[in-house]
This record gives sequence, C-alpha cells and structure tokens, in this order.
Amino acid sequence: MNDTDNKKALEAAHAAGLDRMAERYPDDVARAFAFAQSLRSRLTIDVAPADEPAHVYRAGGDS
Amino acid sequence: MTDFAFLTIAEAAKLLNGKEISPVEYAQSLLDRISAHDGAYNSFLHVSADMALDEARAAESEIMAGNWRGPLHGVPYALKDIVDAAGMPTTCHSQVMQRNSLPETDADVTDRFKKAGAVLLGKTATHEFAIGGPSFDLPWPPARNPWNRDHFTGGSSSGSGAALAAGFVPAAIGTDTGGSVRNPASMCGLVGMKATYGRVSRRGVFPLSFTLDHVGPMTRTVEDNAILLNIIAGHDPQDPGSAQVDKPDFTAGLGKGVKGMRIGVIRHFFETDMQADPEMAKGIEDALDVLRGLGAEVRDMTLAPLDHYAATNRVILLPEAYAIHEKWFQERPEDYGELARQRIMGGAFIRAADYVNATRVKGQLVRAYNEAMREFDVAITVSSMDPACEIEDAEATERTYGRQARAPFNVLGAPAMAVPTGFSSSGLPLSMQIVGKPFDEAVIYQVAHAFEQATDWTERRPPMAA
Repeated sequence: MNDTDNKKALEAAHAAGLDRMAERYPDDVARAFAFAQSLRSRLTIDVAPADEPAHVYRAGGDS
Repeated sequence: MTDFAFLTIAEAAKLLNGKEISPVEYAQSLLDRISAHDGAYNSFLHVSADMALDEARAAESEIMAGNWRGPLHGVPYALKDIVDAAGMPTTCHSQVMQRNSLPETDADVTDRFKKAGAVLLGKTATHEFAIGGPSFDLPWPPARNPWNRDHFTGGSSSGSGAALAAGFVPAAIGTDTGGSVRNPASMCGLVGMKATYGRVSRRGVFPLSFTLDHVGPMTRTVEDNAILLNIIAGHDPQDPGSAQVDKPDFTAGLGKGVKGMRIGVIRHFFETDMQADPEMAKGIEDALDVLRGLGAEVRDMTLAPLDHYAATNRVILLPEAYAIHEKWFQERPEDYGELARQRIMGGAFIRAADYVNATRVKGQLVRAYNEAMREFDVAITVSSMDPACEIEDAEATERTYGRQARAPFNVLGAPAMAVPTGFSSSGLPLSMQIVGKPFDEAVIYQVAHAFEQATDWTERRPPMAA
C-alpha cells in the first residue's frame, strides 16, 4: 500500500461512517481495504443478464 | 474401570443404556479431566459443572427408571461459544459480547440435545465471532492443538476441536461458513461434518454470514458423527434457511461398504489450483488406494478453479458479516481484536454490485456442481493444504486462511466432511474431505465409515500435557 492507497482507504472508511476506526486503526483500515480490492479482481463474473442471485439453497437441489 | 475420556458416543450409549456406567460418574470424570488438563489447551471458555451434574443426575434417574431416550442420553457434549444455551453466557470469544445479557432461550441445536437427554459441559473457544483468530489480544487465549500444543487447532471452531482431541467430550458442535467445522477437524484428527445448507437449524447461533453459515457435528469417529447429525438435523420453521426435507437415518449406510460406488477426485484443487503439502497429498492418495481396494470406482473430476470459489465465498461472506457488525464497528472498534477488525471490515469496501454478482455466480456454480455430481456418488478432495502450523507464527496462521478447499462447499451449500487420513512425519493429523450431493449426507457417512474401518487413524490418541 502506498500513500495514495492509504488515503483512499481512509476516505472510504470515513464514507462508511467508520471515523473512530479510521482514527484509531488506520493500518487495519488499509489492510481491509486492500483485501477487498484484491477480492474484486479475483471474482470471475460471467453471468447472463437473466441469471438471478442464488439467495439460499432450495430443497430441490438447484438454486 | 472404564476410561471415560475416549469413549465413543456409540460405546457410551451401550454402557449407559445397560446401566453399566452412570451419567454422573461419566460427566464428573470428564469435568475432572478438563480441570486437570485444559489449562494447557484453553478449549473451554465456560465450564458449567453444576448445571452439567444436574443434567447428569436427571439422566441417571430416567435411565434407572427404564426411560432411556436414545444414544445421547447421559452423554456429555460441548457447544462452540456462538451457540446459545439458556442461562449460559454467549461470548463469541469477544469483549464486544461481554456486556450483553445471558440468552434466555436455547438455540435449536441445544434444544435438540436437551430433548435427547445429553449433558452440556460448557462452551468452547472460537475465533472471535467465528472469523478473527487465532488471536492473542482477546479476553481469553486461543485454543491449542492437543497433538502438539505449540500448533494451531484450525478454526474457527477451535475449542470444540481441541476438546474432542483431548478427550474432554465425545461430541461437540461447531459452525462452518468457510470451513470452520472441517478445519479444526482436519487439524485435530477428527471427523467434522458440514451438512447441506438448511439441514441443521441456525436459530440461536450468532451469525457470520446468513447465506453461508452452517452448524455441524464434530466427533472422533464417523459413526458418532452420524449419530449426532441424527439428533441435530431437522426442519425448523423459525430458521428462514431451514429446508423442509425428509431426514433419513444417517447411520443406515454404515457397514455397507463402497463396492461399486463411484468416487470422483477433485484433484485440481490440490495439485494445480494450489499445491498441497506432499504428506497431505500422499494421505489422500493412500486413502484413494484403500477405497479402490474396497471395490470403489475412483476417477478424477473437474469443477471450477478453487480460487473462483474462494473469491465468491469472501465477496458474499464479508458484506454479510459487516452488515451484522457495522454499528459496533462504528461505535466501539476498540472492543474487537485486530484480526476480526481487519477481516470483517473488508465487507465495508465491497460494492453492492460485486456482492449481487457473487450470489449470481454462486447459482451458476451450484448448477455446474450438481451436473458434475450426476456421474458420482461422492467426491474426495483436500481439506487443509498443510498440517497444523505453529500457533504463534502469525504469518503462517494467516496463510492457512486461504490454503484450503473447504469454502467451495459453503458456496455450493453441498455436504462436506473432514475425515482423518493419517499423520505427518512430525505427528500432526492429516485429512481429506468427502463431499456429496445436496441432502445426501448418508452416502458420505457410508464411504467415510468404510474407509475408517479399513484404517486405524481415528483410534490414535494425542499425548496429553499437564
């Protein structure tokens, strides 16, 4: 994480109402933000427009 | 004289029903063992000795009067401390919950144990809120592995794993959102089942992720695990995720063998998507040889890449967890340990569209899995990629978080069970997962039992520290 990334992380934390968190635990905010960003890049989305969310499992086997 | 510490549930049930042992002496013996040894393992957060002995005395009276309720009557057990038991604190291993009041009602699983006449010895350690651990900055220390107390138990049902391996209880409950029943089962040489989503009620269990949470039985043997699932499974109209499906006898297939069964091997999870430790991989190969020798047809199968499942699991899990904790994160972040803060907070930074798309991907993955499983009765893959690392090596414990193949089965909602496959050269447990079709847990037990009977891995005992 560079200074720009850290700044973005703290801005995102403040936007989420995590002011106290950002003040007391800026390193934790930076790590959580970086992990969330990395997850986004790892998520492979190849769905058709009509593919609905799975929500919860249904008894029949298919969601 | 009976050695109570490592009695199986099946053995204990026979002795209790035959009035050869007393529920009171059984409970007292395990309470004494906990008192003598748990200082080394930290498996329990709360031991309810008086309440346990009251329940044991009630069980004894009923059994002596000829009213044996079934295989858990008079049998001690423990609950992961995110599961409610009326009158006993639920701490979630967190300072956040220390200010909360005692639950007045039981979780559905606790209620089912009570109706079966089981004896609750106490609540076990967990990673904070079933996600932040192992941590040394919480009000209680983390559980340690009875096979080597310098090593990690796996988590998050860490105390349940340690308590079983140490011979403190024959039955324990864990919860599993990305692998938290199967991880400590794998690290501690136990059997841990994450049944199909909806099979076991989550009511009265502190949530981590509504769409991925499962409650599961942890035991030392396969038969005991099936007995436990027989007790805790069943529809609960008060759990919106609970499935209205028939509940079979999960012990029905035990002893029937695997001749002619079709077993898939999800080899790419631990050979190409990720490389498992050589001893862990060899344990699985040896297990496959055993199953072939018993007459099963074993061949490879392919699913989506492991990281596809892992990312989907986390993109769903973290926003759901964050939604639960947001108010406390805003108002009292200092009451959380560092790991829970870091892991849960990721959910604040995941976009709504990514969350929704992950749930759409989940639907796709479920359909593909069900299609692939048409050709197989069960499938086998790795659980943990490595044996238990040292618990005080923070980098190593953090690595274990991703080096696993359990999260796919939370995304899929499909049943998956960790089963011991032997020991590493340093004496630490090895394991595999046996996974199945939705609501087909009985077949998993059948295969696991056949393997267990052909080996002796669940009969070994750890050296105990004083």
